[in-house]
Amino acid sequence: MTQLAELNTAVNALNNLWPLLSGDEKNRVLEQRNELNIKADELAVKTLLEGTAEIEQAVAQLNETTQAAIEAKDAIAVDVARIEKVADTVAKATQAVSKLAEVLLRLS
Amino acid sequence: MLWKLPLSIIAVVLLSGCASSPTGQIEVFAQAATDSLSKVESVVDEFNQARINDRIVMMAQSDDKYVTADFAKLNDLHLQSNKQDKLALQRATQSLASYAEALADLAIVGSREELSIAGAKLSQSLATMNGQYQALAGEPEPLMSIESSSKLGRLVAELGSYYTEKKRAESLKQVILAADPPVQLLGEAISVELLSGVIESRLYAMRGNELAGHFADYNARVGKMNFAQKKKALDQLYDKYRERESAAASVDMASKAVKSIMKAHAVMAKELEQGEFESADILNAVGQIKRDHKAFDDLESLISSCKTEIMADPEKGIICKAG
Repeated sequence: MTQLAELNTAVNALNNLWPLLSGDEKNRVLEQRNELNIKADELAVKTLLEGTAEIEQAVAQLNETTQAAIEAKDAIAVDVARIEKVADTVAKATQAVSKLAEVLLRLS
Repeated sequence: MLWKLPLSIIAVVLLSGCASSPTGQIEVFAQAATDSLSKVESVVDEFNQARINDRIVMMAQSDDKYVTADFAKLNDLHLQSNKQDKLALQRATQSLASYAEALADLAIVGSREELSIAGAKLSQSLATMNGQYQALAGEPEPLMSIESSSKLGRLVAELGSYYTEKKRAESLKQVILAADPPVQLLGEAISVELLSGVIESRLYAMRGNELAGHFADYNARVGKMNFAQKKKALDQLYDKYRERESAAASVDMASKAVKSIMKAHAVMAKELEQGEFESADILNAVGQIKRDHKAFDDLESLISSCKTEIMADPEKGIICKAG
């Protein structure tokens, strides 16, 4: 970050200089500005692409926690399905008993 | 009659258990965080556009001659062109967004509605069986009262809810406490290092490159201009200078949004550590995310609807210049 800040400061400083110049002198300073500007751009892109070891570690740690949250949700969903299954089975059993009672009523 | 006793006891336990259940606030936090994080993507887009513009500025400031092939090189500058090479900013944001999404899913799994349907089905079946018993046995009294059969159905639903809410509460607490350190670290990295440190400073410098070109033009013509012409030209230059100052407005807003997510998460973690699932502090912190998100939306709509020029006003902040 410090290097990027230094490069940006230098670019900003040269931008306050070259518009006052002319001819070869202007071209020389402008060329220098461009060189530093491209270096700053490359460094910024590198930082944005790579990040830092700290960021990568935090991303990995958070991804692990996210996975734990997903697993916890799945486990609860399985429990909910079981409870529903029990209720459903009991409901079906009572329906079967009712049907049987209906048949018995017709026969009697 | 025997089953009525445990039923009443369980009902009391259920009612006391529901009071501390993790409900809306965590889910609302997760939703608000997801919405805010999606806005960080727009900052990446802005940065991409600014980099391409910067190269065109450098081309315009030189006396070189160009051909079509020179523009083709500009496509390579787009940072999202290679999906495998995601930016650290995107990786970090995506990690936070996935976490928020998983948190929202965990906060709503096993909803009361789901379990109520199972309970209602059971009540209905019991009621039918009751009627059949009365007819078959020729008994005037039902096997169980209508009230009792519906209570049984409700018991299934409530017992299920109690169980899942308790389990969900334990899981949410564990997850949020474990996630807080990386959330704080990532939030800090996104808002301070990546957004403000890299993107904002580069946006400022790149806008400065363009501004310098306009100053060079002015300086080259100044000897041939009268006062009115110079004043008009300087006014235009001043507008461009102000424009540069407001270049990082969206970065500021995104950075603020990320910070409010971090703060709300820290509040949640602190409250959960003390066993509080819902509190005024969590509510305030979540409210702040929503307010920051709204501010971002306002800025976004201002930018998209502005027909003239976006500029910073010392008294009004970011404004659309009058046409």
